[in-house]
Amino acid sequence: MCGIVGIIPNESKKVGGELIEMLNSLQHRGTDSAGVAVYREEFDREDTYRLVAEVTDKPGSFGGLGNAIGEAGGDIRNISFRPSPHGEKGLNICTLRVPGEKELNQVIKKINSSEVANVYSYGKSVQVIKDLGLVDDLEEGYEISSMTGTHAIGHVRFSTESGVDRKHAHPFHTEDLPDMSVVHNGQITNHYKVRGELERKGFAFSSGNDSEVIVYFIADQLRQGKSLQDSLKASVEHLDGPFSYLVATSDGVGVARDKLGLRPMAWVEGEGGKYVASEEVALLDTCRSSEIEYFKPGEVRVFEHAKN
Amino acid sequence: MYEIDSKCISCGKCETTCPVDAITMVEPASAGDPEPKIDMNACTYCGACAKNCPVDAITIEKSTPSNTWPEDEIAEIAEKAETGSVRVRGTSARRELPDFDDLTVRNAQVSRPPIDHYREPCETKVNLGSRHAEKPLELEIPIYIGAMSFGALSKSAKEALARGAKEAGSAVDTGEGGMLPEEREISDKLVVQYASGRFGVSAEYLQSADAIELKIGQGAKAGQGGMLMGDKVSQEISEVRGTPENTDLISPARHMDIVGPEDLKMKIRQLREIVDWEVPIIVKFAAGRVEEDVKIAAKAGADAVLVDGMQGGTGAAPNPTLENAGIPTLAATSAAHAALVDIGLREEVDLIISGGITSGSDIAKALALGADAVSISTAALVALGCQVCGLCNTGRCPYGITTHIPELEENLDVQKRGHSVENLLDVFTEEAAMLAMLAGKTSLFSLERQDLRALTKEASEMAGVPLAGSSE
Amino acid sequence: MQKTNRESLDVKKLGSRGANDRLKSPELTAETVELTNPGSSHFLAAGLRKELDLTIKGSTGYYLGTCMDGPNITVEGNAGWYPGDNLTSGSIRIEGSAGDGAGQGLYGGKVVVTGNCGSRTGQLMKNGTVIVGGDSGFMTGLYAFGGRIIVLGDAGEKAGESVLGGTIYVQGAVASLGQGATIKETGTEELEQLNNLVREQKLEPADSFKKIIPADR
Repeated sequence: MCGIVGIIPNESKKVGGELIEMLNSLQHRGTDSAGVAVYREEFDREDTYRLVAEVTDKPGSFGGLGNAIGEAGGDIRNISFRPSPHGEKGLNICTLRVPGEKELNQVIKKINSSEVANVYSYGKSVQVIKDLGLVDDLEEGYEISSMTGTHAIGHVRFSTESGVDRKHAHPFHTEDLPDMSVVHNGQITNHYKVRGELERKGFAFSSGNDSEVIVYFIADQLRQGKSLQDSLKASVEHLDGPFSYLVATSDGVGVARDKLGLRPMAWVEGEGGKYVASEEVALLDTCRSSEIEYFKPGEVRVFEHAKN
Repeated sequence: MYEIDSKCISCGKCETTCPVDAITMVEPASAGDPEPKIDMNACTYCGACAKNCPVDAITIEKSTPSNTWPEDEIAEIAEKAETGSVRVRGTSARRELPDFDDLTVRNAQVSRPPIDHYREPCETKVNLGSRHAEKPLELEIPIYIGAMSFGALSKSAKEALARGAKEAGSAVDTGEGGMLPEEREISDKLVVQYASGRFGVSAEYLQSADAIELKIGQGAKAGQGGMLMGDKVSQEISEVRGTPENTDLISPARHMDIVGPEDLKMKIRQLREIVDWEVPIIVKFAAGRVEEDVKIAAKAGADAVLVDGMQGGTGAAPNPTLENAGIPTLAATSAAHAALVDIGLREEVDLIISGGITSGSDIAKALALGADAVSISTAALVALGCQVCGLCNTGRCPYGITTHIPELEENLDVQKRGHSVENLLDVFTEEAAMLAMLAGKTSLFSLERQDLRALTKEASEMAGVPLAGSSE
Repeated sequence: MQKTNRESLDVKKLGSRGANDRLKSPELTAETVELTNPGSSHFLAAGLRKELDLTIKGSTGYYLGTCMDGPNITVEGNAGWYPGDNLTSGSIRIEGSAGDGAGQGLYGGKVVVTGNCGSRTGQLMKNGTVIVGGDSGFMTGLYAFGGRIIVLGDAGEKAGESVLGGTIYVQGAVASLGQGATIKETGTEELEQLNNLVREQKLEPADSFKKIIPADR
């Protein structure tokens, strides 16, 4: 069992604070790990991107991350290092400059394959911060409540079938598409089969977690030219098991719920924006409206963020 | 151990025959004539006393049987020496072989929830052969009735199978004896077989199919062709097959025009041209060199491959072939799936397996190992009343299934048996669905290899599945 | 629709699949069709079930007229392997040579090769007639269940190999007999019937034929 939340505010604001409050109210659903994907405001310059990576034990790694980005054709502008409150490797929250998205993808693949660092998110706006332990530990280590953004998703984890470490924590991000992350509650019961199909199409998975299958499935659908809405619809048909998940892109947040409605998902339109969560308790704490709606079994929906 | 029956006439022949003087005629405990008494310490079980008894009053059993020379092997050798011919019989291999029963399904509990069979749904529909065919074979259930020819089977048997398959949303297969008009009329989905003898083949035959099965071989007689003796080729059979009456009908061991991979590619293309690319072309193999054969068929353009394991059945085949050629269906299924993954055509080419499927649980496990559908034949005959006794090749089946003698064929009630076949297909589907749902799936096609565990080391290695108790 | 009596199809332009689609189309009303630039394409007229006269201006590849039922084809050139494979009715006349397996699996109709044939002419045939103006190669009539093969030239090694019901008539030399076959003489009435078929194809009638049949007939 896990807990997931999503916030799509009416205007870009300190979304981090409400995110932490909502996650805290769902802490009882899982204490193995906590994580968020916050979509920050885009930089004015077209060629400036964000990246979050964990540096490995490989000798010379720390300087290595900056070097690796440099060697791969990128130009690092800023690195902010945060140690892990739980003894995991620290996270490097970076800003970098590359000519375009193609070069950006190359930088990411090069860094991941060099084993100098593991990239947890990259793109124009997304920053994924995740670690072992409680929501409070995440806040203490990374000051999530100070983060502003256009939208965000978050997760608390109760591990079911795969390992407990940062790599297996949510949100998941692909190595192939920037600014796309997923948080998931439930199990994909045919995930080996679907993973096999996607691996044969060329996608490389980094963990044994069934949730990772969702983000690559959606990435594959988007690559075929489908809209996020249609991609989510396809996922509800193709993936089996009890599930609710949120897929966030730079445009907004997509929601999907399995056909038998075995995992919960509710949302509300509050004064500040739209709020989505596994349990009503997360919605009551943060908004002032009591008109909570429930997603129907098999329903999919996309909430686009307000463009300022 | 020995027994003297009351029909003993006290002739004393056994006493004089015994080569080790183990037998003495003695007065019985109660009144009566003398009876043989055998000293079991001296007896060597040569059996001469029993063989020479004029009234068959002696039964004698070996107390120290030999594993090198068991009784049934001795009898077989004696038969070969007597008849001078290889024994031919029907049905399938009788020896013990690893099969799907050696696997078990891992159920859901809390790591994932079970789906309740009694009220929640499970998807069973499948479309086969959509790689190149404009009209894939659409089935309500992933089971169809396999190739059994009119000639091997009676007309009534063919009609009953067609009825049952239609009612269950399944398909039937003509087999290699051409198309019985009634079979096309009654059935909804009909797979037509194109085999090495080319019996009954014409543009009309192929163009009236819902799918074409290009038979390279069958599991029961892996690597061999077949023969229907001239005196069993009745007028009706010869009409449907397009051959002169009373001619021996040989199916060569291979298609005379398919000797290598490039020939297969041409053959598939030839069949597609004849049917205007409309329906799926399925290539059927006897499972032996599964990896090589499946890869060739996939690269040659097949829409689906059907791999038939050594437990498959037949109307007539030589005993040594039935028992010693081919590989078990369990091993063939995993090998075929792995071959398609290896050449990057797993999503394009559908995999159908057959050969000794005896229950819906076999079907669930086969799907988990990578099959997209299965074909059943002997089980469908059991629904018609078959006792799997093996006398099919004599043409004297008392249940009217593999005979053309009218008095015997009358024993098969087509209406009733059609309904039995429908029941069988429905129950097999339900059994498979039960296993899928208890494993947490809402679709038969969500079953995966990781849902299985093996109960024996052999099954584990053959199927590529860990032993029960291991984690994955 | 304007009823046209003749139509010409360029196989080089249409491809063999395109040519076949047009031949099979209900919109083709011509009774006489010409295929130009066949370029040894395979599968021409595959599965064609129409009464139609088809002239092919050149050589064809494999499986000409496979499973055909009705058309009469003339090939002004050679044919590859298996022309007339599984023919149900109709005819194929090849004014050149053919490869292996001419008339394979024949069910009816005629396959005529005015030149020479490769190996296994008429293999697996059930009925119908194959006429070879020149020589026929190795294993003529292999597994023939019925029908007849008439060879005006010589027959290669193992003629009539495993013949089950068909008859092979050879005017010239028979290099050797296949297993299960035997040679008999052809009677005068039979000879006349066969020569009528030969003359029909504008070939020279024979003085005599060696008749190869199953040894146990």
